[in-house]
This record gives sequence, C-alpha cells and structure tokens, in this order.
Amino acid sequence: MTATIPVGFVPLIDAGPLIVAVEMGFDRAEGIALDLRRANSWSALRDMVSFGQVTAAQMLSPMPVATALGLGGAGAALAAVAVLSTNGEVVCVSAAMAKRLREAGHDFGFDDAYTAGRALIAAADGPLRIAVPFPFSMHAELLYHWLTALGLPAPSGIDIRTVPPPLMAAALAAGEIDACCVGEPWGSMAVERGVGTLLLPGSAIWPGMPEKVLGVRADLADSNPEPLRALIRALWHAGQWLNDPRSRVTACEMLSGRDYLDVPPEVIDRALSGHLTISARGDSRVVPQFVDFGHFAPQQAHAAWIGGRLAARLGLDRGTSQDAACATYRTDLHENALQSIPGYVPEPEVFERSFDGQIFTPALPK
Amino acid sequence: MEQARVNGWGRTLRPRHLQEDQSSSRIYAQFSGNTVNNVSPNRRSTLPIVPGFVDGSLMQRLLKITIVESDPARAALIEESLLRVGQYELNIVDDMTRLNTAIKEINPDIVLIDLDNPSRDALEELTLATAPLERPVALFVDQGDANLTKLAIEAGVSAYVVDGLRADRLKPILDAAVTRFNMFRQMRTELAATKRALEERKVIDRAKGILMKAKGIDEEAAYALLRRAAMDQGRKVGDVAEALVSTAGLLS
Repeated sequence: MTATIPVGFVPLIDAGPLIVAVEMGFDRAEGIALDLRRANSWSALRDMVSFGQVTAAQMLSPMPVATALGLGGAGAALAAVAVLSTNGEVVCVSAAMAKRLREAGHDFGFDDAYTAGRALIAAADGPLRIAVPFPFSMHAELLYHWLTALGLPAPSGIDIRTVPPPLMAAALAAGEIDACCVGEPWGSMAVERGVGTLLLPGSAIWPGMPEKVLGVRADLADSNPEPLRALIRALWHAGQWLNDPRSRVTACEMLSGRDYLDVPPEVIDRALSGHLTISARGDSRVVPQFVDFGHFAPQQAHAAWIGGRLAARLGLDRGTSQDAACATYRTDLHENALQSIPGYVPEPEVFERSFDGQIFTPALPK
Repeated sequence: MEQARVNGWGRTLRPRHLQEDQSSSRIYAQFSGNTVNNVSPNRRSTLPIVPGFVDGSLMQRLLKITIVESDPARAALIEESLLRVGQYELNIVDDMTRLNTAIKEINPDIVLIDLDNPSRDALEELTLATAPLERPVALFVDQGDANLTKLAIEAGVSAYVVDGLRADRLKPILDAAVTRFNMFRQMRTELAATKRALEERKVIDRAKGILMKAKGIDEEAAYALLRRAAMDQGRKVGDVAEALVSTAGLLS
C-alpha cells in the first residue's frame, strides 16, 4: 500500500527536488507517492502545514525558526527535516539604480560583494529600498548582513519590505524599490522583462547559506513515521540527481511544466547552469556554485545563526531564541532516515565563510 | 455629502464619512446593515471612536473589518455576507501594491484575505509591531477554537486579527466568511471541471474526425478505436486524443 503524501511548494527553482522526486519516480521507489500542491505564498504554505492540509512543504529556512520564536503564524510548531537548496538567490536592481551604478563606474562583475555593495550604498538616494519575498527569509538576512557589514546603518539606512515575487518586476518598473533579493527564476524574469539588472548572486555574499528547507509539523517529526523517512530519502535522491550536470537539460524541462514553474526551460537553465544573463542587453556572467541541492542535512549551526539574527533584530533574548531555533532543525531525524540507503556516507559538512570572513556560530552546548 | 445606497438585499447602506481614495483603497466607512438591531445614524455618530487597542474600547464601537480583494464582485459578496450577521465598519483594499500602507491607514481590527492571494506574505510584516503604538496582528487562532481557523484555512480564507480581540466577537464574522469562501471554492471547482470537460470533448471530436478521414470509418468506430488505444496504453481517452491531434498537426 503506497502512502500518498500531500506536499506544498512555491514555483521556484528550489522546488526542484520535490518536482524531480515525482517526475523521476524517486517517491515511488521509496514506496510513497507525493501529491504536489502549488501555493502562492509562504504564509499559506506554513498554515497549510500547521493545519494539516499538507503533510510537508518547501519553506524558507528561517520560517520554522520564526514560528518557534512566535513571529508570524499561530499554528503548530514546525520542524526542518531536510535542506532542499543552498543559495540560488540574486540581488536585482531597478533600471534607474543600474544606470546610476554604471555612471559611477561599477562594472557589474557579479562576483565581488565588496565592490557591488559599496557601489550600491554610494548610489543610494535616501534609505535603500529593497524588496524581499518574506519578512523571515534568508533574503532578508543576507541583505542585512551584507549591507551592515559594509557600514550601512540598519534600520535607518535600509528599508527592507515584503513584495510577493510576482509583483516584484512591477515594483521595480514603478520605481517603488531600488532593488530586490529574490530566488530564481524571478530575477531572470525581471531581466527578461527589461526592468531589472542582476547585481550579485547570493552565493557571493555567503556561500553555503541554506535557502529552502522541507518543513513539517514538529509533532510529526517527533513521531518520525516511516513515510516521513521515505520522503526524506526520496528527496535526497532527487537532490543528488539534480546536482549531476548531465541531468540539467531534463531537469529544466521538468521544472518548466505548466503545473510547476510555468516559465521557459531556457530561463530555468540559467540558474541550474550558473550561466546568468544579468541585463536586458544580454551581458552574461558565470557563477560556479550558484545553487546547490546536495547540502541536505539541516545544521544546528545554521539554526542558531538564524535564531541569533532574528533575536538581535527584534529585541528577543538571544540565548533562548537560539535554543528554540536549534530545536527546529532536526539533524538527528535526518541521519536516521538516510542510513538505510545502501552505501550512504554522510557528507562532511564544511561551513563556508561569508564575504567578510564571518563563520556560522557553532552549535550551542546543550 | 451623505449618500444612501441600496444593495441587492434591500438594505440601506449609509456611508457616514467618506474618506475615498480612488487610486488605492475604496474606503466604505460605517455601514448600518441589519434592520433588526439597527442603530440610528444620529445615535451612532455620538459613539466614542476610541483609537486605542484594548478590547474595552472595542466594545464601544463597531469592529473595523478590512477585506483584501481585487475582484469587486467577490468583494461585494463578502461584504453582503458580513452585513447579514452584524454591523461592521467595512473597508475594501483592492490595490495590492499599497496593501500595507492602506491597512496601516485604516487600522482595522480584522483583515480578511484569500489564502491564495500572493500578497498575504506582505501582511506578515504587520505581525511585527515596530512602533510602540502599532497594533500587532496575528493569524487568528484561538486556543479554544483552533477548529474554526482550520475550517477557515480549508475554505481558503485567512483572518488576521488584532491583539486582544475576543473570540466570541470574531466567530460570527469568520463563520460568515467561511461560508462565502466555501461557495467561491465550489464555483471555482465547478467552472474548472466544466472547462476541462468541454476542452476534452473538443479534442476527442477532433481526434475522431482525423481517424474517420484517415481510415474511412464512421464516428462510432473511430471512438471505439480511441477507447481501445487508451485501454491498451493505460491512459485516458482524452490524453490519447490529444496526442493524436498534436501529432496530426505536425504531419499536416
């Protein structure tokens, strides 16, 4: 008897492991069947998980932490049981901002967070208005880290606001924002529409940042039923398959489907290959590690870092926030699920440093 | 100027103070809806409108409900449903680009928004009160009645409620919204199913036509052939027909 598992996703390239698990049959190989449900917002996904409309969902990696800290949502406690993707975000500037940057001599090298950040701060006309898709997102954390490290005072010098990705191109075109930080393919879509120029990939700010996680209710994670372990294994296989360059052409076709991302495969290919077109003039840049699907284990150090950042910004107690954050990242459960894969060897986790040499806070002593 | 408007249910709606901002949110201030416990406009205008945020002051005035909906027809239906269960001050925000600004200006007690609306994420910002006098809102979940929120989520409506609002005041509102959104959902499902059925029938008809012409058979035989191919391949007749039509399109 195959267990059907309803899983929610938002149309982004990092829904890739979920889509691939279904299209390639990694779910059926593990004796489960994923029933993918597309959602239009992160808050909707969070509530669907909390109230049981779906068993699991793609989530921004700070979402389970934010819920644990009582920020947004009011339903059940959540747990991250897998990391679906690492990086894959872009910073995209408006046409007016791109023009100012060019006039000031910025070369849009797309690889140096120092020069790009300093140029952006110098070109700001008042507080920098930057849109992110959700208040509790790695996009927001990356921006705060990047710009404050370069001396921009927060919150006075930076105005980070939430704009749903489908409306970001319009907000850029209308001059309501100077820039946005968003997951692919939305950055490339803004370039396609001629309203945005890509300034920097998220991986140039902090490589190895967990971008999306698979979130479930904490009580489900605690009981750790076999179908959940099967889901984790299916997604691990999907991530391995996606990371293989030979899969790329097929993967782009799968993701571009009408029920999934519904954008042309060649736009998806830019993110998966790391060959990004950064301007409407067709300038292109290569990013060797633009997005990765292989850093699959939720790390306590990541959770602690996210908890610490949210606590500092919102005036919560740092220690208790970090403890609560760590409890949502279920590394234990994850290892337990993957051990039964023949020949599985846990990947040694290497924490990469941010552009300014920061390292994730190590896991807190229990 | 005071304007009287008669809605489809024969009730007079009296906008008390029109603060209209045509460009963004239509603000219909203070309707008196229910004829049973109708309060006269004169008496209502003497009620203290306290801008505070404790439930004590909420008891003194009509609850302010903001409906976030860009489709005017749907917004009107939600309005109607709410006015049938009580008197509320209703506002509609239809411009998603100014959502948070509009809501901060209106300062409502309750915000109702379609679960499928992408702009819901922007509302999450309002769950963080950044200034001392701001009123944080939260997705409504009362510990005693989580079931109500579950029903709402299933119906596809989310209610953001200001801190300190009592559940018994919210329940009739949420009940009415849930009923209305369930109807929306049903209509949407029916429409989609009808469209799909029509689409499929069109494709099957075209596939039959192609087979009749190519093989010189009648309509019944053509359909039997399609059905048989579908059974052999374990696919739906519609899928086989679609494959045939698109292949024929390539060859012609």
